[in-house]
Amino acid sequence: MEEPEEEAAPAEEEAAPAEEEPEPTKASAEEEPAPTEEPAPTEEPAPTGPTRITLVESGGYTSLDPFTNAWHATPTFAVFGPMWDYSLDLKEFGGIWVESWEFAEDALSATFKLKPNLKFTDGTPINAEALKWNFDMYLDPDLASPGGGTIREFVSSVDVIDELTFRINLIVPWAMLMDELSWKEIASPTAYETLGPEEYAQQLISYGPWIVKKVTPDVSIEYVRNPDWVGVPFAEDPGDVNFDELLIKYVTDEAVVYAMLETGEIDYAPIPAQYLQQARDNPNIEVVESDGYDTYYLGFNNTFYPFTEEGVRQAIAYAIDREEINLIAFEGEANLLYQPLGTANTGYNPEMEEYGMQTSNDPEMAKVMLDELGFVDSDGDGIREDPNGDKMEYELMFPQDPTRQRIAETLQSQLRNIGINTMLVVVDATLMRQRTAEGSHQMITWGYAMLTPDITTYIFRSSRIGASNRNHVNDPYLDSLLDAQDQQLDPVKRQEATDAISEYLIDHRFHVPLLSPKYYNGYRSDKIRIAQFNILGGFYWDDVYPVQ
Amino acid sequence: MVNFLIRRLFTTLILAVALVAVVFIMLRTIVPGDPIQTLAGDFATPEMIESLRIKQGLDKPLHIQFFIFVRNALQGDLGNSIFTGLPVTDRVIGAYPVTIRLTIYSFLFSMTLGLMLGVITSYYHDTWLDNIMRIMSVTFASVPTFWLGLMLILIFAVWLDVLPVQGDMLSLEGLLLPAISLGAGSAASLARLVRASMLEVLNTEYVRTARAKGLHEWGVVVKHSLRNALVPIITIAGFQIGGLLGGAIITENIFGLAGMGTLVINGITSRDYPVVQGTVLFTAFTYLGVNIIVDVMYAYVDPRIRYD
Repeated sequence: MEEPEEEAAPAEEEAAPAEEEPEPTKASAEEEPAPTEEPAPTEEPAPTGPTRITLVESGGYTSLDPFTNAWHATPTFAVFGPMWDYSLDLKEFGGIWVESWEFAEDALSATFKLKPNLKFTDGTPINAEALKWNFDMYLDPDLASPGGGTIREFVSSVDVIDELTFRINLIVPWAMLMDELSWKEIASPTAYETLGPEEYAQQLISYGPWIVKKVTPDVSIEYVRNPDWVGVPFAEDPGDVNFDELLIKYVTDEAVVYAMLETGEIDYAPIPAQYLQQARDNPNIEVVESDGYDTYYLGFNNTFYPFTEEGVRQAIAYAIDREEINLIAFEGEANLLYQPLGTANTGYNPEMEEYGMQTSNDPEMAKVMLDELGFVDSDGDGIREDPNGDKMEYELMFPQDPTRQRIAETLQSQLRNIGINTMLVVVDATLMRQRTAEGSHQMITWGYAMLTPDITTYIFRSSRIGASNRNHVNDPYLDSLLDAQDQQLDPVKRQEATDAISEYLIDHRFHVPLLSPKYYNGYRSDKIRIAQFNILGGFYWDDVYPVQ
Repeated sequence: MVNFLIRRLFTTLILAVALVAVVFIMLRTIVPGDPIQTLAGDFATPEMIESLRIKQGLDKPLHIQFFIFVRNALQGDLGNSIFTGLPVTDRVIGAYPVTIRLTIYSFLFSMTLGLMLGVITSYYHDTWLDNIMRIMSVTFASVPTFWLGLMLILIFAVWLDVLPVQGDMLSLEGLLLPAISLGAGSAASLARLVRASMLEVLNTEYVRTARAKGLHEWGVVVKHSLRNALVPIITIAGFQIGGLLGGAIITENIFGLAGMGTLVINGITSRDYPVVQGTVLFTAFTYLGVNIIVDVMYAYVDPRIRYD
């Protein structure tokens, strides 16, 4: 959900619910989009000697233990192959571990049948018992697994039906179940119990395209190919990882990461906007561009006066010029956003953009609205006073980051134009989380990201106040809309529920969506070939080939 | 000397413990930010966050947490990282050699270059060579480490493609850029100090006497002048090691080296208390140890100094 900043990048293979700012990076299987450009047909024959692909992880090193780590990134997705994966258009799932699944009529359970003869890389059979063991770990309240947080909210239990069949019992219908489990890490129970959590985190025995060879905390993780990987059904040539080795390096500085891509020390990396032209000019770097599912927004503490006043929030929404923010912060490369869901979110509806535009881009209207509400500049200093006589001066907090800084400064200027003074407060992501959780903030500019529209539940449901509901919205009607969306499995009805939420959020302006940045990744076309990308620019491991 | 060493070691121990106590308390009381919010991830409910807080023992009163930390630390257990779950002692022991190696290489680089430039500029003082080197010294002393690091990467890795972007403490080519980046500022400062110190000594009567006796100029400069100019230089060199240890934090981050700097930066940004405490403890011991060595060296360099 909201931007994780430095933390481990919530990059997933596909597009799992990234947390806050989505980190466009991911190098795992799917990621950013990329209009499938057919790379020049290069020969793929592996050169002599082991072939290696080198990637970078720009989030800091965190535990790789699935049960103690809430942050999912390329290093884990390389090992924990998903039970199923998204198609390239993200509209359907294809089984990897499972061959079929079925939801009950009341949508309160789902039954999954595993493929036969699959084994974790330590030889432990992948069967219903193993899956149940994993879910029980995630569900264990004493373990309080951060990675199992959502599961504990929706799943009541898991039953073993037979050797290869298990049933997930739900507390309420849960539309996001398939998405959630498409990136849920599953460990070999034998390995985990034998090795213990600490040692397991160094070996990560599971079943995925890669097998961990060596973990050097904060430095790198070395992998070797899993010869038994069954592959993603949507891949060009499912079942074959075409490199012998994978090396993921931990490097946090984006300038250094880009320099490593330029010199060929890494083969694939996210490209910050300021290096985009340089990358495009490099004949050895192929730039992959896609829409993102992030929402960058201006947020309010809805319990802090005057942001308790809907009219004030609406006036501020009118005052914002997204074009200007885009130019200053993203060099014009982001998508403007007038609705709560990022452009690549599966619940994104272009019609909502028009709806949001109707109450935007009109600073004069903002001034009129504030005047009518009694927020006027009575002493002529250019800053309005509220009806109590207090100056309209508020803190605008944002996490330390050059892009955020530029967004905040532009917002400051735009709000100053309608007579609201803001003091910029820059903090790190950890403090940002704490202050927004405890409600000691006034205005913020941050972001959230997730592939599915359920992100609105995390950001706006009243039960999330004190955690991810950073705008401190407490609206029972909105809660009911969110529940209706989260529990609706019918795609058409679910979209209607999502649209209703978007409209409600736009009407009441609990926050103001600003932009949805595109994702830019680059890969060394002289060293690797990627056969196809999904609409987020992600790829399947099976689709990456060495170039001789 | 032995008594002196015992006294200093005892003082060092007290100082290190006091420092860690201060860090322990400051991290939890003055430095805002909740590690559990981050650990829980952005999908956690308030209830899950509280469960994790209890699990990590961060719900206990501060004095109880401190007591547990001290009790465990005395047994060599600095706790486990909140975020990686790994023992802090292991993490620090793994990172320590990287930082020490980087610091030593940078120190050697700065000492060698600083002494060399200082001696040359003092010997040829007020010449064009002196002026150029003084300008260079001021420039490098003023340039921030992170900027210099990025420039070195740009020039030597990206443009010339002769050195790797990412540092590597196990190879010469991998450590060159980090060591230069970290040591350049120190070298510049040292060069200016050596120059000033040498100028003073070169004008003394015993140096003139040495020259009058027909000693070789090399011997006059190095043996008679440089050695007598060393006492203030050693003092500064000791401080510089502290500076280099601190600077290593930035340098490691830029060059992707997994040393104490990377560890402590990650620890601070995520409020990983045990990691920060562990790295501070080890760094403090190192710095204090260096100071003891500097004190001892005084006695060797200047026979007039005695510790009785």
